Formats: sequence, C-alpha cells, structure tokens
Amino acid sequence: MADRTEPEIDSAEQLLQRWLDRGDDVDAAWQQAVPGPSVDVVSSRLSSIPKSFLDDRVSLLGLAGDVLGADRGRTPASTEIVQLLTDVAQTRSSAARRGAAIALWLWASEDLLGAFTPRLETAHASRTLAALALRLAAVVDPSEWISDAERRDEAARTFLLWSGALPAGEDRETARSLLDMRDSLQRNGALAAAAAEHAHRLEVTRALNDARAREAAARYTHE
Amino acid sequence: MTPPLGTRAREHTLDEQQRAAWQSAQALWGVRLHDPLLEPGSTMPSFAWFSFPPQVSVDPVEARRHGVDGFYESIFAHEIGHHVLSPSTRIDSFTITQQIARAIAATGRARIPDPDGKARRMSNLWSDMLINTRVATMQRQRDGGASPEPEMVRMWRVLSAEPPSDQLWWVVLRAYEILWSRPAGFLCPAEPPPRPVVHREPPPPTVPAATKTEEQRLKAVEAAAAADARIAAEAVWAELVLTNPPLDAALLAETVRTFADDPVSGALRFGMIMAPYLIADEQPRRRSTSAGAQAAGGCAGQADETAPTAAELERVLGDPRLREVPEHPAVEKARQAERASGTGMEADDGSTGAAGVDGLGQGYGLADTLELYSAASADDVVAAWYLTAARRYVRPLTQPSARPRSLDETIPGALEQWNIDDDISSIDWPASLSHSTTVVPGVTTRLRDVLPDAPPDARESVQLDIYIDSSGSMTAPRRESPGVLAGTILILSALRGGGQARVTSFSAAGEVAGGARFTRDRAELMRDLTFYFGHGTTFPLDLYAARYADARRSRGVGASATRRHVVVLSDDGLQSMFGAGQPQYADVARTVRRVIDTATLVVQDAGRRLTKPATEAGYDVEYIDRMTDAPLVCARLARRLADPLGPRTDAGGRRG
Repeated sequence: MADRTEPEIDSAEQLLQRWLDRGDDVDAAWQQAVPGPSVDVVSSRLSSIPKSFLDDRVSLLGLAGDVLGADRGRTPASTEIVQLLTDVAQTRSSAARRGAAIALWLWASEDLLGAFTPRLETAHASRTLAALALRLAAVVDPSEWISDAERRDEAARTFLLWSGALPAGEDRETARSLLDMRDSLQRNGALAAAAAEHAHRLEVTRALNDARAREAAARYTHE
Repeated sequence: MTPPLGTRAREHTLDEQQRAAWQSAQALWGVRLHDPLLEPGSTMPSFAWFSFPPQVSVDPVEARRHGVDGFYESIFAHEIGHHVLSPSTRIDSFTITQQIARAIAATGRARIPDPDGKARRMSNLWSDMLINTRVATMQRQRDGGASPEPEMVRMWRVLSAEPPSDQLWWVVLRAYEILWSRPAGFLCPAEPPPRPVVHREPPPPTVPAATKTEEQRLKAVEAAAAADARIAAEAVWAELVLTNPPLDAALLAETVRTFADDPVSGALRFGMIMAPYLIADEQPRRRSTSAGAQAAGGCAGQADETAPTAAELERVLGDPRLREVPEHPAVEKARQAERASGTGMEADDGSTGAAGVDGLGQGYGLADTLELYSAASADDVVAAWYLTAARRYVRPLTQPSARPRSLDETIPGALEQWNIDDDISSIDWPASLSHSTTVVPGVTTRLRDVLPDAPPDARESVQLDIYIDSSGSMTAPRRESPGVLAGTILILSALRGGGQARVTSFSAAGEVAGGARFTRDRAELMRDLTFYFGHGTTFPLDLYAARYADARRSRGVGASATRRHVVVLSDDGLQSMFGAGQPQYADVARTVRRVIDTATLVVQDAGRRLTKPATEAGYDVEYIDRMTDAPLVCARLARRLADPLGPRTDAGGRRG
C-alpha cells in the first residue's frame, strides 16, 4: 500500500517566500496608484464580511469564479488568478485562504452593498490576492483584520495599494507613510529583535547580580 | 509687592473668545467647572496647568508667545481632561507616578538622574497623551467633515514647529502621528535624532587593602578582583540602553489606545517604553521658544502638588495594579506573536522582566517608596507600606468563646397530638384548648414537639499583647523587617476579628516605647510597631511581670474571662527574656506563662538557639528568616489561637 502522508502546512516564512518569489514591485505599485475609495469605507466593508467567506470548506476557486468570473462564474477571469489561488490552496494555510477570501469579499461587496467610489478595478486582482494571502496573512492572522482597528486599517490600505488605488484624501507620500507605520511585517521583525535584546539584558543583569554577590562575599571573608 | 494669587487671577477675566472656548471645552467633556484662572506672567514652565481641588489655570502671555492663543478650546479641554480623565484624582495621580517609578526601578534607577523628579514629569506626559488623543477624537466626532483637522492636531503642528532634539520627544511626537493618522514628518522628522553618545572613563583597577599577613593579603586580592569584576559587569550593563525609536513610538501609540480608560495600568507600560530614553537623555536639552512647552508636553502639569496624606498613601500603595510585573511591551508582544505562530517561547522562568519585584509582589521596595514620597511623613509612608503589604494575608482572628453554653439547647417544633401513653406534663394546654374547649384525652389534646438546637460554636475576639524587639540587631522597619510585617498581619487580623492589641517596642535596658492599654486604634498600634531604638537587647521583664501581676492573683478564681495572648517578635538577643543579663528576673517569663493562654516567640535566629530556653519556659517558637516567611508564621499562629487545644502538628513551629 502506498504511503500517503499529509502535505505539511506552509509556515509564515514559506508564505512570505512565495510572496517574494512573485517579485511584485512596491515602488511601482505606489507610482501607478490612482485615487480610490477611502480607507474608512474599505475598512467598514471588511468588517462586515459574511461568515461563509471565512469557512475553510468553501472552495477559493469557486468563490473567485463567482466574484471575478467572466464565463458565468465557472472560472476566474484570468489564468494568473487561477494559478495564484491554486498556490494558496497548496499552502494548506487557513490564514492564507482566509486572506484571499477577504480580498474576494471586498470585490463581491460592490455588487452586494454598492460600488465603491470611485469603483475598484480588478485588473490587479492577482497581486492583490497575493498581497493579502501571502504577505499580510503570513504575519497577522486575518481574524485580527476584523477584530483590531489598527490591523483592519493595515489590511484595507494593503488591499487598496495592490489594487492600484490611493486612499481618498491622501497623497502618495502620506498614504505610503501611513501604511509603513502600520506594516506588521516590519514591526514583527523589530519586535523579535527587541525581545532578544531584552532577553540579553536579563542575562547581563543576572551576571551583574552574581558579580555583586561575589564581591559582597569576598569582602565579608576579607573582613 | 506681589498681590496674592487669587487677587491677581480675579483681575483678569475671560475675553469673548476665551469665554466661548471655555464653554465649548466644557461641552466637549460634558462637565461644568468654575471659570479658569488667567495668570499672565506666571512662573510656571508652560502656558497652562491644573491643580486640586479642580482648577484650570492659563497664562495668556505665554500662550501668545508659543503661538497657541488661537487654540483656547484645546488648551482648556486639555486641562479639563486632567480632572476628568487622567489623573482625575490625587490618588490616581500618585498611583500613576508610582507605576512609572516602578518602571524606572526595573530599568535601572541608579542610571537615571533625579529618578523621582523624572517619574513625576513622565506621569504628566502620560496623562497628556491620553487627554490629547481623547480631545482630538471628540473634536473630530463633533466637527465631522466641517473641519479637515481637529483643533488639537492643528495646535500640535504649531507646538512641534521646531524639530525635537532628543529621542524621547521624537517618540512622543511620532506616536501622536500614528494616533492621529498623520504621515511621517507631520509633527517630527521621519528619522529620529541620533542617540547621545556618553563617554565613560573606565575606572582604575581596585587596589587591594593593606594587610599584615599573607593569608589576609590573598583575601584582599580576591576582594579587589571581585570588585573589578562587578565594575566590569556594571559597565556592560550600562551600555545596554534598549531603545528603538520607531518601534517604541508604535508601541506607545498602541499603549495609549489600549489603556485610554485605565491610566494607572497603562502607566507601567508607558514607563517601561520611556525609561530607557531617560538613561540616554543625559545631555542638556536645547532651549528655545517651543522647547519649553514641548518639554512640558504643552502643559505644565499639576501646580502646588502637596505630599500625600496617610490615608492617600494607603490607598495608593494598596492598589492591586501596582503588583503587575514591569515588562517592556516589546517582550510581551513578541511572546504573543511567537505563541500565535505556534513556535512558542521557552517557558517563562518567572524572571522575565521581573527586575525589582520582591516576594510580596510590590516590585518596589520600601526604601524606593520613601524616596519617592520624600515630601510626605516618613512614618506615614512606612506604616502604609506595611499595611498594604500585610493586607493580603489578613484573616479575622478569633478564638472559641469562653462563655458557658446555654443549658437549653432546644427550640419548639410543630404541634402534634398528645396520646394517653405520653407524659402528661407534655400537654400543651393553650394549644389543646384553642383546638377544642371540650378536652378528650388522646383526641383533642396537643403537645408541642421539641427540636434539638445546638448553637454554632461561639467565637470571640482576641486581645493580643505584642512585644517587638527594636534593637540594632533587628532589621530596621525602614529596611523591610519581616518582624514588623508579621506584627502588622497580626494586628490587622486581631482588629478584623473585633479584637484589640497592645504593642511594646523594646531595646536596651530602660528603652521601652508603646501604649500601656489595649486599643483598636490602628494608627497608634502601627506607630508603636514601627518605632525603632537601634541599641542593645534587653527584654523588659520588669514591665512584663508588672503587667501580668494582677492576672496572677485573679487567675483561677473566675474573676476575669479575658484570655491573654502574648507574641514576642525578636532575634537571638531574646535570651534576655529568660534571664540572660538580668538574673533577678530569670523566672518572670516562666511565671507569666502560667497566667496567659498562649505565648509565642517569633524570632529571626538562623542558629535556632532559642528553642531550648523557650520550650523549658513553656513558649511556642516560630522562626522567621525572610519577609516571605511572615504570612505563613502568622497563619500558624492564627490556627493556634483559633483552636488552642488542637494538635500541635505545625511544621514550622515548636511547642513549649
């Protein structure tokens, strides 16, 4: 009988590597971005996502066919999207799956809740899905995008950037600065470094306390 | 001559613009206060400040000089916020300052110049951040799209016109940018100013002390080497200033958002983020037009801050939030992130960020507390510290009642039929006749059933006679004495049980302090308990004998039902209690023991030398070595008092 082992779930590092392998140019994305809907509007839509979108049993490809399909919902509009969603499914990562589903919901909401002003283009759907499923979901669980205002803001800004839109009322520099401030990837790296430094400091503090104790013992013996 | 403050303030009334701003600032918070004081030409370090009882003061000349005289609504709203949001009360003001002082202690108090003054300034800065963020949010909600930016944010554009010269202030401004969703560079440059470089000259090697013998010389060399090793370790530690301005600004913004309604809890995290910058901030800050206002956070804080009272100190030190372990939010966040990613940090060994936390969880020693409240009465601080440290271990201390039980331990039950084979005396005639005026035995006769009713064991309060050794060999109360802590737990437990206590502090011969009578006055008892002579040790056997002389005569004739419990808190110098150094009273301890119900010696004696004489004289002995031993010893003592005839199987105590 053939040995059938379950493929392993992609780690955060592996998801990020998949994102880096795509080679999407963030500077170009900022340069090409044009005024879009406001962050508040996108955040509000994001927090009203139906539960069914977050259900791991729902097929991403089927969902994308419904939302982005050109042939009556049977397949997504582009093979690039099909390829990306197949990759996401292969990661077996629930976070990545839900990240992609949230992006699909934001497009779907235009039909269900009303179009964004200005309306969002889906020309960059593939990289937008990748940004949310492989980059952001790797460092912040998508459940936090819904529950935490700061992370919701980050997800909305990430979605807008890779969709080719600038948040309404913000120029390119402002929008970029505000997203950089909230970037969980950078922040997590800094946090890990800071935690390591604090752990090191605790070690040094222990060494100092030992040195003080030894000095006190030596002085006592001498006296 | 300078007129009094009130006179000067009344000379200046609000103009039309200021009146409108004052009204809208009050409406913003939904409160009504009496008018602010205008004090042009004041000597305060900024243009606005507050004081208790609630009062807002503004220097309009300074406000104009800083270019913020067009933002009176935000200035007033900020100062009102100090009375509504943070600190809101004097108690919270002291508690916030204490939290930040704890963070400074955990970071390295010795490395921060004027740590207590810095704690007070940081306390005001933390309140300022909470208030400014809240005011900007309320202004945004009120104005909606009518104003592109809240007035508070516009005022801070003016206040931050000059770039910050130190990292601490950059972190604060950057955090405001994050909180107000403004891009980098809005209030401060995108990059933080460089960290000041402090050059430290390495100290010369330690010279061994002069000695006479070769053995002494070797030990002196060893001691000098140990001193050099300690100096080297301190140098390494001093270099570890952990600051990451962009990360700390993000963590600060998150702390402000998370603890918007709990300034006291948030103050500890704020302190842990900012304290490393106080170490780095060793170079004099550049002074300029706006720097003064920046340094004060735009607000000069609380004016005329008077020292806390004894009651305030007890409430401050008793706040359970002061027991939280100081930890940098970066460590906490990293741990959460690792847990979420499933890798998980190694098991916490209990030392994480726990610098300065003692066994009692206060995390801030009595010596530190005394320094922080140097303006308050030291006796009040010491008493409040022990009272709050003891509070968690206090249980009502009672004993079985000495009064005889009631002979009739029954209660009347239900009416039942009396039958002819029942005792005739048990007929309840009123009940039978009320049933029927014609008496038919066994038919109309009734009896009242009787139910057993053993009352619960009666308890009564205790009278505790405490003798505390305040000789030089005992740890002084100001240096965290386990004996004083044990005494405090016992006093509070006796009082909680409705009892009384008497405390006698003794040291050398003739040195005795304390009240002569038993009392429920906690302040008096604590004053006696923390009294310290600091000389030799001679137990006052003459006083001891005299106090129980009457009891000796009355004992056994039933004249008094008051039971007597003696507790002596001392060390190995207590040999004097059994006649050492005063042979004329050698038998007093044994004689008195016969007329008291319990007698316990709680002693700090590593050699355990008191067991034999105490046992011979009939005294129980409890040994106490550290602060953390005190609660356990008191618990055993309480059990002994609660059940004086119970088995003596306690692990730590010895029965005489």
